[in-house]
Amino acid sequence: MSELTINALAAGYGGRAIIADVSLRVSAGELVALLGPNGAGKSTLLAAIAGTMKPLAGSVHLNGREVTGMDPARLARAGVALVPQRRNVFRTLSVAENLAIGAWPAPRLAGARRDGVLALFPALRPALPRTAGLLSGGQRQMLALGMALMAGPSLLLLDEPTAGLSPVLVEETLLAIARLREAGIGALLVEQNAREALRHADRALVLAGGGVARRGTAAELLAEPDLGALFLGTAA
Amino acid sequence: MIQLIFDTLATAALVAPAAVGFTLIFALLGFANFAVGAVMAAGAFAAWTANALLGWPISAATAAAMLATAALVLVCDRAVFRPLREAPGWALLVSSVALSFVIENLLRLIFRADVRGYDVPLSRPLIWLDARIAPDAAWSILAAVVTLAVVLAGLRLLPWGRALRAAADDASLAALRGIPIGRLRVFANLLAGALAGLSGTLAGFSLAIEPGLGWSLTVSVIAAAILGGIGSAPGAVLGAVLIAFVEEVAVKFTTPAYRPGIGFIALALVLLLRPQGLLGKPLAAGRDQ
Repeated sequence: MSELTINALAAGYGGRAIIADVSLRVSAGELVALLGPNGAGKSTLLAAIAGTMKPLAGSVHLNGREVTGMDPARLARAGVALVPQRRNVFRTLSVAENLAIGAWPAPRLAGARRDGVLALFPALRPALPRTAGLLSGGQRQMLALGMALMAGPSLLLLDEPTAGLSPVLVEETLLAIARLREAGIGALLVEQNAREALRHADRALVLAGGGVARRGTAAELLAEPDLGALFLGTAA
Repeated sequence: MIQLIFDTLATAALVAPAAVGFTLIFALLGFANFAVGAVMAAGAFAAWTANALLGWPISAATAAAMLATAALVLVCDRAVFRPLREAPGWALLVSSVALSFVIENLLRLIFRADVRGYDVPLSRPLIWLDARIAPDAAWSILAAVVTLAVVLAGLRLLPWGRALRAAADDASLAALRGIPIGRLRVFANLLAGALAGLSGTLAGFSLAIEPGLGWSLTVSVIAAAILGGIGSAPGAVLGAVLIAFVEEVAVKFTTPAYRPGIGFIALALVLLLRPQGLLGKPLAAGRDQ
């Protein structure tokens, strides 16, 4: 079973750490929510895990193998799929082509995986010939997630996949992400909508001030009397 | 009218292959490679060497020239552009201008400044619907159409072609999806080099083969790529046809000596009026990493 283990990770820009001493673990089939205020370093943490940013210190292990600072393409082929918040689809390619590109690490399984993605996101089927740049915000997020799933990842890193979506689509997207647990896919979910994320997650961490301010099961954090303060990282 | 269409296609055949390579390199590597003209000249000389010196038929000489310029562009990338990968786009652009002078003067050193031509049999133009169709121009159109059809189909249908288009759209996202960007750059350089070599070889039919051959076409190539939309190969072909049409119409009212100036005016107008081109995305999104 796949597992992501992060030990004392530090990362930032120009040698200046945005996050420091962050440790966490995501097991196979586990959905871990990563919460915190804007600027807390949530996206920086995802970038450092996915290899788009070289960590300043610490280590990242995938299934016991060290992958710290590994080239993002190699990491993707090893089973880690980061879905960025913006620029997450190829706008000039069709939806079908986007999905085909997503299957780059395992092209022989593309047909079966495409069927699976279209079953998870039926709204994408009629849009297959359309240019991705013309999709609605909700369809684009579905395509971004679907493209990541085409690679058959063992770990998903999701950077605010519900940003800009209507409440109905937020719920649908989070439900779809939660269903991925049944396939044994672990996920680290950065989400602004803390309450919704906690309703679907198994565990959660709150990043604040560049480090982990709180961690616990989703149920424990949901039971916090002042969830807003917790989300903002100001709770004791 | 038939004559204008034929002349437009003949000019577009020289410009379009190089424009396709230029637009893919611009989108993938994030800079305008002004050495494209010098590579075209190298292609013309490679074809001349194979055809006039070694006695190969022009079709085989064209293929040899495409292989030679593909290798040349790959070597130039390794020696000049790869060490500057993290440098800003303007540094790469200036380097490409310097590189074009190096290639041009190497050609001058090896082949001297003499004007040369291919060893092909002279033949009369065909007359069709009052239009004069020169056989070498017809061969240029055929070679460009067949090559571009294969390249465009490959970009659309083959996995490496799709990957190249994806990386031209967003290289960072392509890397996140597992595409090996380094190997893709090699592939793109080989493709762009071969296409510039084809353009140069075909230009050798209508222009004198001399080290500065590419300069007169460089502006047209860049204008076609930008008009079509940076990163869009079909757009570059469409841009080449439109630029060629504008040049051919303008030449009817002026003289061929003004052709580069006409291309330059077209480039300026495109940048002012529609910088994202006909089928592309905004230029600012060109460099992704």
